[in-house]
Amino acid sequence: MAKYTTSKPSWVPDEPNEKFACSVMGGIEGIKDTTVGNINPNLLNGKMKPRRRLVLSEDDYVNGVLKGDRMTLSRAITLIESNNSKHFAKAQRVLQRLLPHTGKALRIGITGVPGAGKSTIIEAFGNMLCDAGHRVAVLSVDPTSSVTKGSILGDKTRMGTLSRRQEAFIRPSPAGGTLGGVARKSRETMLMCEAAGYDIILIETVGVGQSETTVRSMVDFFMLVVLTGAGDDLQGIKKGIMELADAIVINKADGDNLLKAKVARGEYERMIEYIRPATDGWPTHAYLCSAYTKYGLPELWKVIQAFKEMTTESGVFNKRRNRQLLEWMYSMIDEHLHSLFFDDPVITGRMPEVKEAVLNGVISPTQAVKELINMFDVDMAARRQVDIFHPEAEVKS
Amino acid sequence: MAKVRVLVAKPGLDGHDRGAKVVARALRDAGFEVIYTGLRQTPEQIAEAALQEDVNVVAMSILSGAHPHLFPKVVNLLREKGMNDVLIIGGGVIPETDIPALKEAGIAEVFTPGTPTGDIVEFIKANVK
Repeated sequence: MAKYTTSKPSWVPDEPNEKFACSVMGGIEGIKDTTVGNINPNLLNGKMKPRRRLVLSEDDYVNGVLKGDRMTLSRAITLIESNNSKHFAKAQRVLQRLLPHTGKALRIGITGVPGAGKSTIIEAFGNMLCDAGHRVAVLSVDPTSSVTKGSILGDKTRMGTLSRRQEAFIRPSPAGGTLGGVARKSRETMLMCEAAGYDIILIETVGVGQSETTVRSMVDFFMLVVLTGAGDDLQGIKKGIMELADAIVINKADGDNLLKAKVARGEYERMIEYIRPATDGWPTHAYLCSAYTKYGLPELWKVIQAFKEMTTESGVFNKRRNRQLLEWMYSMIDEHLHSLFFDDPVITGRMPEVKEAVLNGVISPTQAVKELINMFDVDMAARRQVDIFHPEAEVKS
Repeated sequence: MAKVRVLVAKPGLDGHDRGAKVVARALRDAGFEVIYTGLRQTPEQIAEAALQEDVNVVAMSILSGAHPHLFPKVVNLLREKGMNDVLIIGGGVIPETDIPALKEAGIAEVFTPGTPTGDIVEFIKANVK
């Protein structure tokens, strides 16, 4: 611990005396270490029984989720999020059995720049839906990666009322990692919630990267939350997001801001005219709302219901869901091939050398790719050869 | 392996969350997944959040002096919900004389001011699973 600094203003007397009001009190010598004695020794030396998590069987998961048991649901989601390959296999088996019970919910995606009020809208909107007798699950796709691989999830802070309602289930998902990444985990989490009887799924994402495309490919209705000042906003977000949206929601249309919001709505309406609608036959429009005063939220829900009715009638609703299923499969093939290639021992072994060669200009990147793919091919073929003589090895992998 | 998930919570009427935030950050940096509840949570809210998030650890911080009442309440609510495998720890300005009673009530450990954050990390690592 550093000592106090000794520099004093010139008007402070050198020696403390009673006439000078600001004499320095003697501090406490040293810091009392209160932690040492406090730690329960039984817990530290492992004498106390370790807290083992009750392992649930496949049947427990399936029955619990179908019953709508919130604890089983939350543990099933943890199972899906786990990167352990053993958990992966189990999660897939559970999901397979729950699959017939999914698909009945309306899936709504919500994006917008940070600070646009997505969470506040979800809080207000979710509460309104719960009051109307719906069961709402709130998920978020947030592909942030950090150096330490840890994350702080703060959604609970901003969805105070909703988070303690029995009809709602809030589960922000952290960054993905391996085995299918964020997209697989969010999709499967969504299916789990549907099997547990939640009939409205709200998926939140920050609209600053690839995540909104991911979310678009898993929801029926996609809305973009913006603030007033359309021109400024578009500097920050890509115009491309507007192409994905089924509705543009101008938040914070309350008090003095209402007039500005109305102006912004006009601006957005004019911009939308030039953009192809995200859903066939559904004209995208801009809507005003205020999560604070609840203004415009019932209307927004009516819009979403009208959207569902219209698209179900025209067949677009089911067509999109089918297309999303195929997209999901394709993206998983992509990811699988990616990990197959980069985890290949031959490739990881040769990679540094090839990198060096490319950096030194010995070979062109295109040539390098060709060589690597060749090596990969040969390695794969060699493994198949081995498998012929050891058929049981193939079963294992 | 599944990551350790920690709920950092501030129960009761107490607006001082610097400590909770410092701990949340330290736990994140240690590679845990941290869920922070925000200020002024009721024991019911905390238990509900712990259940929805399927956490391994509930870490509560309190500086208002209401710990003898609120800590055990959260423990009981968690047990009622069937979450008897959750490690519950507490922190804040808690007199040493209160600590034995809290441990009796099911709080695994109490970390008072001056605790290096590394100790909390070590404790969680040693006692989860």
